[in-house]
Amino acid sequence: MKKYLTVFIKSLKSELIYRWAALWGMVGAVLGFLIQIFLWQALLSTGVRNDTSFPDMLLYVLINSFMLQLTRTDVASIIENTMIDGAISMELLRPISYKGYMLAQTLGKNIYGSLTATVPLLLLSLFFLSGAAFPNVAHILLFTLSALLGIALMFEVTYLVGLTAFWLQRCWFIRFYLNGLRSIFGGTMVPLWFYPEFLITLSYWLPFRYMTFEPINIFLMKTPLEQAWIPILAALMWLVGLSIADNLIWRAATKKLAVNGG
Amino acid sequence: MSFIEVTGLCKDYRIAKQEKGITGAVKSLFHREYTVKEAVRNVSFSLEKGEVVGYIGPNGAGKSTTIKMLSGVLLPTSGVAKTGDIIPYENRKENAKRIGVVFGQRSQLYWDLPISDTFDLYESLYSVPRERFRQNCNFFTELLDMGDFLHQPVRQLSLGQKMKANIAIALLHDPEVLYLDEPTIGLDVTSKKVLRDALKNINTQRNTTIILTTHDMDDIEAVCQRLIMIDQGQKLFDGTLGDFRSKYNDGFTVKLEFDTVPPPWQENGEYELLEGDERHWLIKSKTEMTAKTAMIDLIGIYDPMNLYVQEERIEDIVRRAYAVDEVV
Ligand SMILES: Nc1ncnc2c1ncn2[C@@H]1O[C@H](COP(=O)(O)OP(=O)(O)O)[C@@H](O)[C@H]1O
Ligand SMILES: [Mg+2]
Repeated sequence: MKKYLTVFIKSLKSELIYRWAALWGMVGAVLGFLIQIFLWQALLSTGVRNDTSFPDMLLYVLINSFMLQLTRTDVASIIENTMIDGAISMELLRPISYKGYMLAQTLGKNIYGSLTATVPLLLLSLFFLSGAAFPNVAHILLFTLSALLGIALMFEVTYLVGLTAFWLQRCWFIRFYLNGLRSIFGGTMVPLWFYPEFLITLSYWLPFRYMTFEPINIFLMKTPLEQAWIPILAALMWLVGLSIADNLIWRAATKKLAVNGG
Repeated sequence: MSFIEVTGLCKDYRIAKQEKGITGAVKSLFHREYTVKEAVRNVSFSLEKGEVVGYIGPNGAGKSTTIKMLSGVLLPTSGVAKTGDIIPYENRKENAKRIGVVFGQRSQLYWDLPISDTFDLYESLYSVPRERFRQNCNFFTELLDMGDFLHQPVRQLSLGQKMKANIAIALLHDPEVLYLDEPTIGLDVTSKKVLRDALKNINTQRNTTIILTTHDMDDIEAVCQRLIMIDQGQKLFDGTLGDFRSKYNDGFTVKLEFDTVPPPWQENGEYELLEGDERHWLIKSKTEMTAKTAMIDLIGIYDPMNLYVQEERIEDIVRRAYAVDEVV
């Protein structure tokens, strides 16, 4: 366990080096935040949903950017790159589980990313948040659980996509599809509330909505306590299924591996 | 049973044929043809604990591929490699704890952080007692003279400095076996010497088994007792350095030094001019003759100011050995 903690800390530390990048990242986050708010205001002014107040909307945008940062993962492109330049051989020389190593690294990056991106937004909107429906303790606990599962789920799916590079050498096009699917069925661009019925039904059968959308619903108390177990259980089942798949594919992948270059 | 046993090891790579043009690219989406590259062919050898072996061969001979199988990264197509009682590619993580590996072309260091951070990572990766680890850090920092750049971000270091750090990292956990794949590229003469001494030191003090791949025969002469030569995936020689000399060596070289412009070189069946400039000639006898005959002969013909007889350098023997095998 200690080794994964070290990987996590070093990953965090690597991110800290680039203060300018962090600063520009913050500026980008603020811009994205403003865009989302304008979009929402436009949407609300059409009167589609008059049950949503401005502070509620603000809270949604905040928690949404936080969750998006936390579930950002470039593990697939990292694997793809190590395959292209052959650096994968160095990773395999370490007495550590490859998946665990990748996860610890991703978490280090994401925690840093979500803190630097969300804290300024939070400060910016602090004054406008009064009156928003903040979750109670039970919802916060369930949200935490559900968010952790979402992060793990996103990682599993992306990792699985990355492993295809062992066969294909390149996997950017699969990554591309993954991002598209996630945007549509994960409700990361437009919340699933606004979707036609059949897409909503379909989204229940895919893993994407359990990554950020369901945790957010719990946080915003749109999911009642007694129903929270449904998305949590669904996420858990996906997670177990994907881990089993990952393990099998990893075994096949290491057999298949041909390292590029000297 | 020996410490490292390699029996009938083979590795084939499948290489997809690249067809030219867009039609070729589209066609390859549906149907791919492969050629098979036999990178390692039926290689067998065994090593005792504490042996230092030079693993040599021309570019593309299959050296790195062998090392990758021994270190558990690649699965052989057939054959078996065993280190200790472990099959490396079936027990990657267990094997990784016992070995240290340096691929001279690659780095294991955190790019953005100082070397000391990578040290920390390796401390927690291998369950080495803290005290021992600290001791090793200090030992290798001193030995490889790394004190000056230990706390500088890795991206600011020179190739040679990174190489030293990678070598140190491979050694911090007291590995039983050390695989070094071209560890001296990018090192200056002094650093090479430092590294060779360090390797000898580690081998004698800790009885570490070492397999060393290099194109610098001085590395081999300095640290290896034994030599394995492969070419095109096949083992061609396995024995002591002395055996290697007597197998491939066919004589000695004579160096002539002139104080004036030398007389013109006379081509004949007896001698070959290897290198020559205004004042120095390096000559090799083509036939079997004693050094005494050659000396008398050459002094008679060319009247040099000085004359030295040298045993042929391993470098030249290897060059010839590669060339001979190319012809076969
Ligand atoms: N991933 C790969 N795919 C296809 N061929 C490879 C691959 N890696 C190495 N080879 C080929 O296998 C042969 C042996 O390579 P290598 O072991 O790297 O040689 P060496 O280290 O002795 O220079 C070379 O002909 C090389 O082109
Ligand atoms: Mg090589």
